[in-house]
Amino acid sequence: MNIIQCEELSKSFGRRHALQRITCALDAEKIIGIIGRNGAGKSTLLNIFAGYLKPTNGSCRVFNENPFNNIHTASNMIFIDDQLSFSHYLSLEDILKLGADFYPNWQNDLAYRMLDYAGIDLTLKHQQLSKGQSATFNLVYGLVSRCALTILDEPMNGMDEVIRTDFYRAILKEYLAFPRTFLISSHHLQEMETILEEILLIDEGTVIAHAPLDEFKEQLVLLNGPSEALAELLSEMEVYTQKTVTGTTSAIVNARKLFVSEEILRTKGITVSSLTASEVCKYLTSKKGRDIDAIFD
Amino acid sequence: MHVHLDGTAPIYIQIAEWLQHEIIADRLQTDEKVYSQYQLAEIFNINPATAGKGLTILLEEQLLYKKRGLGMFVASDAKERILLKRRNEILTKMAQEIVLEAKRLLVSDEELLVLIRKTQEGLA
Repeated sequence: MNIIQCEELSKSFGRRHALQRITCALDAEKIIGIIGRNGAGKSTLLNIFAGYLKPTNGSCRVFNENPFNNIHTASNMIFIDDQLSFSHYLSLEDILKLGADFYPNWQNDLAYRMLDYAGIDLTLKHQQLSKGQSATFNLVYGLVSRCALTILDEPMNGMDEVIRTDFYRAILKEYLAFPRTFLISSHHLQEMETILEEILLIDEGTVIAHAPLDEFKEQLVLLNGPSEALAELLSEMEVYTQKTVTGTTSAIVNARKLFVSEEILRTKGITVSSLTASEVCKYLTSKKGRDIDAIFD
Repeated sequence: MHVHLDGTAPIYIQIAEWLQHEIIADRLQTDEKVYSQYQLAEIFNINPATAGKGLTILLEEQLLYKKRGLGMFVASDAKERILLKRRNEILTKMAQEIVLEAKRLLVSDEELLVLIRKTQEGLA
């Protein structure tokens, strides 16, 4: 079942095109990573899903309705980012009480246990928290609300590595306990890729890939071997980047256009290795022929 | 229980291999119920769909069988079939790699055989 469906969705801010003709359908009850470079349009897209922004063109349907200004969306969805604002007058404890009143599946005990674990004092006010503590509190708030659609926009920004690792596991455990749709955007793809089921890769306002994680990773491979042996092979392939050091060439190529078996390659001294999801993202979204080295030449 | 995954192979393949390893080591025996995809997700800190893909590989090779509503169980000849397959596929591939590496390092055939024999004696 689809929880979100977009057709030809575009969003412009003045003359700037943030999103261009996005068509995608997201299944319910999956953990989906929304990945892209800075300024790719991830947050704009998530804000449209949440009903906070109106598309300029095209349609977006969430729970089969237009999400903009929609109470049905608002009561079944939670959107967590670092701009989430709470009352300046309430203690964290009181903020949790209000959450419990609004969200029917709210887990108050769990909120207390997680915040105690993170060492956050509930008598404080939200604006008194450090950047990392505030991110932790917001993420806990998003998890314990147990909304059918949970959108986490860069939820781990400002959190230290230990707490990030803990909370990726917390997201997974909450998902196992109470399956729901998680959309998570992050710059730390490597840290969260094991808990993802799918990835939606956005670049320059368009969707350039939407696939199960393994399939996504398998689309590029790294070839390594003697330069003469590789040269002929590479001339017929889609090469993303290549480097030669002392007669050995390594190249990242499109795996779908590699028609030679691994056994045959091995006899020529060429090895095939897989990449991590974040490496695949990097090569799919970097401009071909552009390299940081080039500006120093 | 916490098991660490760090191979370069896709995670679902690593899960399938781990389960086969458990069967070879008799930690999962014939007709015993295997972990569900949700238990595997919890153990390895991975998405349950990925764990499910690992289980499906074993199911398709008929190393596991399904009982409706009860889960998956170890097939009676699973252990022998895994051992046979490993001998045929993995050991052959490893031997290929050793021979190629020996060639690159200019190790003669006799030297390589001596090395293997010595290694065997060392482990015996």
